[in-house]
Amino acid sequence: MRLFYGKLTVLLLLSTGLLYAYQQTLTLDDLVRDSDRIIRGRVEKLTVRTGVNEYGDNLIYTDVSLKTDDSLKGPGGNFILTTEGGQLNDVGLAVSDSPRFRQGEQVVVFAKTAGTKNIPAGGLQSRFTIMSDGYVPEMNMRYGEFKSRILDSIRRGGIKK
Amino acid sequence: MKSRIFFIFFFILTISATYLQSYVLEGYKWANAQYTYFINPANGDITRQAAITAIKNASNTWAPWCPGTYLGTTTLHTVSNNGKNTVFFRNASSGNAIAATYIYYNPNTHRILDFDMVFYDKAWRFYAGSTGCVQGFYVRDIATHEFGHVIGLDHSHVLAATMYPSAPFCTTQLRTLAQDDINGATAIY
Repeated sequence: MRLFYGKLTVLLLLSTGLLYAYQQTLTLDDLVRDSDRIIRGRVEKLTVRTGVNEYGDNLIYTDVSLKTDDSLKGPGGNFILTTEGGQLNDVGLAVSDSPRFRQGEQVVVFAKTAGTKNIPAGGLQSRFTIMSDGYVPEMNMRYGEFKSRILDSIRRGGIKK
Repeated sequence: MKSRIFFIFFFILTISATYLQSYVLEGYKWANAQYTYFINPANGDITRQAAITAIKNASNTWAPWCPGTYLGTTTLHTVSNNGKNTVFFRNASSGNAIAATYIYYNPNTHRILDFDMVFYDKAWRFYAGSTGCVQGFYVRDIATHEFGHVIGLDHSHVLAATMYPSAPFCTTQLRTLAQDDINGATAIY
C-alpha cells in the first residue's frame, strides 16, 4: 500500500512539473541555445533612464546591475542587463513581454548580447526567481536541479553556434 | 498509513497550487473606465479592413468593464507617451513575443496615461477570422490578450485564461474570456 501511494505521489509530482513546464513557450534547450550568458546572481541596483530604440520608440529602460554568484554559460563576472520598462519621476512604463526585477532578489538570468548591451534572451522567460530556501517556483524545483538541467542542456549542444 | 496521509496532503497542496492561482492586476487603471485608440492596419498578412475588424472585436470583448472607442486609422508606428493610443504591426521580431503592449502610467495616481500595442509581423503569420490558420495566430485572439493588459491586467496563472502568458498556434480560445479573466476585470472596474 505504501508503494502504491508513493507511486501516486511521484506521478503527481511529475504532472505538476509538466504543468509548470507548459507555461513556457520556450523550452529550456531553446533558452540555453539563445543565451550568450546564463548566471545565478543577485540584483544589486536598478538604474532607470529614457532612451530611443532602433525603431524610434521613446521608452523608459531599466539597467539591472547583476552580481554574479555562479556563471553557467558565457563570460563570468558582474554585468548589466538592459530591460524595457521602469519608473522615472512621475511616469512608469510597463511592457507586457519584458521581465521585471527587484533590488536584492536572487535570480537565474538568461541573457544575450545585442550590440554592446545584454538583453533578456527569452522575454518573460529570461528570469527565474530563487527563493531563500533555494526553490525556483517557475520550474517547481530547487536551484541545484535547475542548474543540473541547464548544464546538461549545454552539454547536449545548447551552446550557441 | 503515513504514506496515505502524505499522499492526501500532497494531493490537496498540488490541486490548490495549480487551480487557486488566478488573475494578477497590474495596479493601474483608466481614470474614467474607458479609453480611445487608433489602428495602423498596414501589415504583411491580412487586409487592412480585416485587421481593423479583428482588433475592434478584441477591444469590444472587454467593453463591459472598460470600453474602448476606435477613433480611426493612423500611420503612426512607434511607441511613445504621446496621448495617442495606437495599435500597429511592425515588420520585426522580438524573440518569442507575438505582440507586446506598452503602457505608460502615473505611479502616484495609478492611472494609465497612454498605451501602444505592437504585433511582430516579421516573426509570425497573422490570420483574420477563425479558420485557415497554419502555424500562425489569429489577430483577434492575440489582440484580446493584449487588450487585457490595456485595461490593467497582468498575466494570469490559469491555463484556460485569455491572460495566460503563452498561446498555442492558431488558438481561437483567447477571444472568449474565461471566468478568471472576468474576475480580474471585475476586480479593477
